[in-house]
Order: sequence, then structure tokens, then C-alpha cells
Amino acid sequence: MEISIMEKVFEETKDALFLIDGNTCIRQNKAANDLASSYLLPLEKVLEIAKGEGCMLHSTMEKCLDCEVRADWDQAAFPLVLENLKGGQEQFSGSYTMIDQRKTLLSIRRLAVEDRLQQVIQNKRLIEYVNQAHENERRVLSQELHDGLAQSIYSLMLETRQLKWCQQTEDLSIKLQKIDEDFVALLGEVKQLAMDLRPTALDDLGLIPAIETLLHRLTETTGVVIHFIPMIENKRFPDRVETITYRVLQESVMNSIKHAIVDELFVTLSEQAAHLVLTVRDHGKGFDIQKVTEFSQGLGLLNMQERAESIGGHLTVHSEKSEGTVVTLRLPIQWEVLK
Amino acid sequence: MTDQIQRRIEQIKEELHVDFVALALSTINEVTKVRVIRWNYVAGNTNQHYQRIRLQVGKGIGGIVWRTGRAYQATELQKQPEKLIELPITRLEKLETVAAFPSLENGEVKGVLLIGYRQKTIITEDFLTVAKDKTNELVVYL
Repeated sequence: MEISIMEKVFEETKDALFLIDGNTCIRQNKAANDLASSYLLPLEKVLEIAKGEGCMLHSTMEKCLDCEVRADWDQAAFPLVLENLKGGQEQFSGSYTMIDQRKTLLSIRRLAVEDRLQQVIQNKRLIEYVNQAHENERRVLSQELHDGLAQSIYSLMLETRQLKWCQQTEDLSIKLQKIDEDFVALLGEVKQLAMDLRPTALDDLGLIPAIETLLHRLTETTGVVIHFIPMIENKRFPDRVETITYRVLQESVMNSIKHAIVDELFVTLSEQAAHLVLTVRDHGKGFDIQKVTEFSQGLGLLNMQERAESIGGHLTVHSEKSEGTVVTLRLPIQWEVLK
Repeated sequence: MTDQIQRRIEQIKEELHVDFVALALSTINEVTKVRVIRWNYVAGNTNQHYQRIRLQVGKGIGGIVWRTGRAYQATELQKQPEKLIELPITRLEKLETVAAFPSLENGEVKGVLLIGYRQKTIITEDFLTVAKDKTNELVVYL
């Protein structure tokens, strides 16, 4: 009776258990069978790691010697990365217990929970990043109102007040001319500010005219030539599809100008299999995506990704050192129907 | 007139021993009355991209000098991507240190002169005085 319960415990435990005799497995439970059927499980290699003969970095002891991983080795819980049949890598935790002289027990458990924890941390950082971006936007806007518009209005006020001291009509007409010009400039500033916040073209005319206006303005303010090749005619898409496309374009173009060291950019907009596809390509210096994400930068990229995924689309970034970078955004055109 | 200014700009580049000189001027469209400021004259440029830039009053080197009527300088620019966006001419011409001065007539800004170095350079007070004088002398052409 006693033994059969222990048998059952061994068989039903959710951790994958392997009973090892020497170097061969003599018994494995259900979870272990499942594991072996959905992951590539090189048992010998895993045992080597478990016994501390190698580590994640080095397959044999000679190579490993006293490397950092080995220094804090613990047989009760060691990290393990297994490849699933689709080629993706997932994290596991293993433990290795000596039962008697020959027999040992290897147990392997998935680390999904810790992954999720990582995601929660990532999300918090993203929220912080977005809040920070909002705050910066407000700062810029406030500065613009105070240093830009308020100043212009103030100097116009002074110019107008001076008119009453003006004796000669010739003088007066010159001054009025100047005031006229300054009003035109002020009006331009207000309109530009409104446009930078959110272009009316995006709401009134659609995506393509809005993009053309934005890129024209970016060329004037940065000196970079941006070739825009729309491969579809101008038509309306769902509001969020248009907004996200516009914002991703804006951010990607700014990223390229800021980091890639280029004088030329290429933007295309096309329709493929019920998806709206935007690409932003530069032939600049490129970057290592892995590194950027590791060093807790690249939240801008992550934010764009999240926005794309929020309506069932996705964003990919392909970059190669000294080759350039391509950002591709795919959004389902009929996402409302899908929902 | 045009050639005169261009020759003067080139002279200033030699006299001040700088790598780059540019002069921004404004033109007003007769019909729309819209003011457009551009880098109209340059010397020591490595490409023609400066022609694409349209300066905005209050933004960038030219724009800030235009609004305030005061000199402006900045250095170690190539290390600061944010600055390079703000000051596009420094990105296009790979300038490390820049200074800009207003050309004033009766307190009104008529033009902005920019000088730049491609190596990090310390700008002295004496240099500033000389450069300012030269900028003000330009008024006669404007």
C-alpha cells in the first residue's frame, strides 16, 4: 500500500522526473514523457550539466574550470534551456538528487511563472516611459506657448502701442506693414503648433496626405530627404489604424534621423492580404537590437510594438551593422470586424 | 549684390580661420506675406543639403538668434543626438562647435551669421568680439 502511493506520487507529479541508474534512465513519469515529446531532450547533456561536469556555457569540465556560472552552482536548482520542436528556446529549472550509490533523480520544471514576472516588470517600465513621454510633451508645449507665442504677441502689442506716437503717414504705413507681417508669422506659428500636436489632414483628408505633409515638414526642419512611395490610392482606414500608422512612422523616421547618420530615407505604404503595411528604411549605420533591448533602452520600440499589437497587428525591426535598418508595421485593416 | 555677399562670406571664413560659415536671411512672399528664413549663403560646405532647411523663428541656432537678437554658441555637438536634431545644419555639416550672431539694424534682426568648426574648439571672448563686428558690417549688404 505504502509503496503504491509513492509510485503514484512519482507518476503524477507535475515536475518531469527521471530516475537514473549510472548514466541511463531506468524510469520516467508522465510529465517526463510529455516533456520528452515536445522538447529536444539530450539526456546525457542534461546529466553532464546536472552533475556539474559542464555548465550552460561550457560542455565539459576542462573548458569550464572555474567560470562564473560554476562558482554559484547549486545542484538543488540549476538553470536549463531546452529547445522545443519549433526551434524556440524556453527556460527550465532542474534539480539533481543522489538517492544511493548508483541511483539518482533528475527533476525538471518549467519557469513560466518567472517569465511572467519579467513581463510585469517590463510593463511597469513601459507605463513609466509613456508617462514620462507625456510629461515631456507637455513641457515642450508649455515652453512653446511661453517662449514662442507669448513673446510674439507681446512684441506685437508693443508695436501697436507705438503707433500712436507716429507722426508721419509714411512712417505709419511702414509700421503697419511690419505689424501685418508679424501677424501672418504669429498665425503661422499657432497653426504649426496645432499641426505638430495632431494634423487635421489625418482626420479630414486621410493617411497619405497627412504623411506627405509630415514628411515635407521633417525635410524642412532636418534637411533629410524622405522618399515616400505610396503603393495604394488614398482611402480611409479605421481611425486607430490611421493614427497608429502615422505615429509609428513619425517615431521611426525620427529614430533614423537621430541615430542612423543618413541624408536619405525611404518610406512605403502598401496593402498586403487585408493588412496595411508601412516600411521605413534607412541605409545608415544600423544597430544591435539585442543590446538596445538588454540595456533597458529601446522602450520606444517596445511602445510601438505594444501599440501595433493592441489592434492585432505587429511591428518588426530588422537592423544590421553598417547596412541599415528597416522598420515594418503590419496592421489588419478590418480590425474592428475581427474584434 | 549676391556675388558681393558670397565673396564676403568666403573672406570671413578665411579671416576667422573657421571651417564653415553660413548666412541666414529672410524673404517675405509679396502675396501671402509669409516669412521664409533659409541659409542663403554658405562657405566651406561639404554638401548642398543646407538648401533644404527652412529655419523657424525661435527654434535651432538661427531661429533662436533671430528671436532673441543675441549671440548663441554650442559645442561637443556630435555626441548629442538630441542637439543634432535641434540644430540640423550641425548634423548635415558635421560641426562640433558653433557660434551664431545677429546682424542688427535699428535693433531689428536682418540676418544671422553662423560659424562652425568640425573639431572641438574653444571660442574666446576676443574671437566673439571680432566675429560680432564682422556680422554687423554685413548689414550694409542686406
